[in-house]
Amino acid sequence: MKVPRGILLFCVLSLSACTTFHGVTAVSPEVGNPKFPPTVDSLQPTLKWELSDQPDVTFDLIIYEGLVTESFWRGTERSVGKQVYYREGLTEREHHLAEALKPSTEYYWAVRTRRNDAVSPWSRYDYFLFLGTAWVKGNNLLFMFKTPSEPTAKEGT
Amino acid sequence: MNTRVSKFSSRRDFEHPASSPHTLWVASLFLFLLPLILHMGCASSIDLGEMDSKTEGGIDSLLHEESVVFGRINVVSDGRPVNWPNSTAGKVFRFGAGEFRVLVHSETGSKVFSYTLTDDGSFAWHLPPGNHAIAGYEWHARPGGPNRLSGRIWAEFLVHDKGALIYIGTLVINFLDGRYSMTVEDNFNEALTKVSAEFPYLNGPRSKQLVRLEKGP
Repeated sequence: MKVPRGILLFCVLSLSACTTFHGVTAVSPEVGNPKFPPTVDSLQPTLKWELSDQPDVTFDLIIYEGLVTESFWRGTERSVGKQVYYREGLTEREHHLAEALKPSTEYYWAVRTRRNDAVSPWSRYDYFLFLGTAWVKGNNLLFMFKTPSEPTAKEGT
Repeated sequence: MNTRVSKFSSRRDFEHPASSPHTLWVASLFLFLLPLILHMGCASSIDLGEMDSKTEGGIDSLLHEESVVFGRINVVSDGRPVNWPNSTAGKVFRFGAGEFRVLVHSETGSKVFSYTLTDDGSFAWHLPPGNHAIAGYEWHARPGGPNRLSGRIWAEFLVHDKGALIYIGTLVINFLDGRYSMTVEDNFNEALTKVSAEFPYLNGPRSKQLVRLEKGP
């Protein structure tokens, strides 16, 4: 069946999402709609990011536990909790966590660049999803992920 | 005398969290369910002022299991302290400066409570023994600004025992030029006078354990 171009264009325009990064770009886990953080496959995930045009910098990584509250009239609310992990002066653009996180828990993470003692602001991103008649919008957000409910077979042993 | 005791302050960016548009049917449903919602909101409150019984017996029975934590959250915007609505209508419809809520995380049972500031931000909470933290804030309908701001605070305090009156200080959150910073002040006598006037039946050993702001990396 041939779909008219007008309808196709309308569908594309009414289902558009936009992510803008400030600082480094999160590569893995991918970030997107902050209401649905991606689930990583391990309690010690490898976080990856990229940054162009700054060859001589190292990276600091910070992870906070997420606090999720459910209420009848406010729905699901998320906030940033306790700092649980911090590494400074990483030379690679990825980091395998040295400690296991809690299962089934949401986490926030951010990366900043470092040149000796000078550091950049922590990475953030803006997100906008337009669904034709409704939208999801968030500015200045930390990257997020959720841990799996069980450790992987390798982690469990 | 007020003594500034913070050894450091932190300066942070706002967050504008994800939001969805309100629709007419949600508003209608809200109005229909308002009495139920208000009742449910009170059920999990840590606000001492929302206790069913503020008599001597009521307070005594509360202090068998929990302690009273008091202090103040002083929000300063563009150099001026903000005064918050104290009526139910003012809170619901966000008159004046809007609604400023703090989230209080209780490590005991991993619960998060929400508390809406009134007047000058003085508060009296009832909490069980354990580690707690003022985790973050949400400022709704900020006049002349974005509809909703939120950010992290993470000011930790300890409730060491049951039946105590614990002063945790004045947490000053200073909003200026699109950013906010925090300090902790000690105004013990002023706060004790205020809480004693509001809750005359509060008795118990008094102590001071000021909140600890997280040292940023």
